[in-house]
Amino acid sequence: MNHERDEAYKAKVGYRNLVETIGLSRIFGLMLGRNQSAIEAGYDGIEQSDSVLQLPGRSNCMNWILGHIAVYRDVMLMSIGKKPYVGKRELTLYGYGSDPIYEDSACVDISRLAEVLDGGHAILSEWLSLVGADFNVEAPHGLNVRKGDTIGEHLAHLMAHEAIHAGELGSLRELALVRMGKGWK
Amino acid sequence: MVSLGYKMNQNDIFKTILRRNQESLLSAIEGLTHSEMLLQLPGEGNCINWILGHIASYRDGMLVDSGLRQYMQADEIERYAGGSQPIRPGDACVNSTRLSELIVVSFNDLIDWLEHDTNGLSQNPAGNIKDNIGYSGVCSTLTEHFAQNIGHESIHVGELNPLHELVLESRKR
Repeated sequence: MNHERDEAYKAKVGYRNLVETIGLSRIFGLMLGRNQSAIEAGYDGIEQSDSVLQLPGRSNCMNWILGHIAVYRDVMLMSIGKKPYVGKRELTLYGYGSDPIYEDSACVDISRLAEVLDGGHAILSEWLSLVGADFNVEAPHGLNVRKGDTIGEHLAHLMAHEAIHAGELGSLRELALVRMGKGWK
Repeated sequence: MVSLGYKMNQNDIFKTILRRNQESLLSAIEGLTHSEMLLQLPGEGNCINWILGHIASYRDGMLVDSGLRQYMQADEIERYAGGSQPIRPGDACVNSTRLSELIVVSFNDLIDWLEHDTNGLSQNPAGNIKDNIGYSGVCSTLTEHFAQNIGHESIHVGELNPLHELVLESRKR
């Protein structure tokens, strides 16, 4: 009798955990999708030369922001045991605290950055859609960025981080449109 | 893979992201005057005042969804709705000081609710979700609506950074 009750309890807890896992996957999936849409809307139709335009002050250009998001996407991929897209050169160019990118600076072409972002998005979306993603396991040590003890906490920080940078793309896109003669000012 | 024995839930994700948003937002507007919050970058982007009002109205949407009190008046919400006219110096708008206060109280209420009502997100949204602020057409549950609205606000918070830099540059002139 007790055994049956234990089994029933385990099944109930298992079901609740599964529902919760799907809930967390859905939240991350929605946020990632929203971020990717904002990123694509930011760079759509923008050429390499427009991606290095600068706004007043110490903000970064679009190329740096896209590269920075790409580097952090790779961190998300590595966190879930997937292979990163970019290497040490990109990490140096676009990692936290790296130098701003200007017209004559070394940088990665915007079309390559778009490919990296698209590829990372596809892999992460697929992983989030799988039943069984466990967000309560420890985030791997040895990552160049580790934002939380569990994968869930780590991903929450990284998703918010990329969303805020995606938001910075809007005004840089407007700047590029003005230069192309498509802006209204 | 090692489990830490700690179970992250939906409330934890939203609290983490809301706190990050709030921290970045407050840092971007700290010490700015109302007139500085009306400065414009080239193109069709919005000023800080519009972005603050827009974020505050979406926060109100989450408060209403959760059955909590909302803070903004109907005309204020309308002024800052998605697709509303940009705000330029001389245009009618809500004072930035009030908007900054709304940002603080709405944040406190949402964090408090997420902290204490641990099953709150599993309830049905108050009212018809399609009428609630921030309905995107792809969500039907409270959790999905929160995910959409909080993700939406993160992106608008990012828009504040270049505007903050613009203000700092304008002070040098």
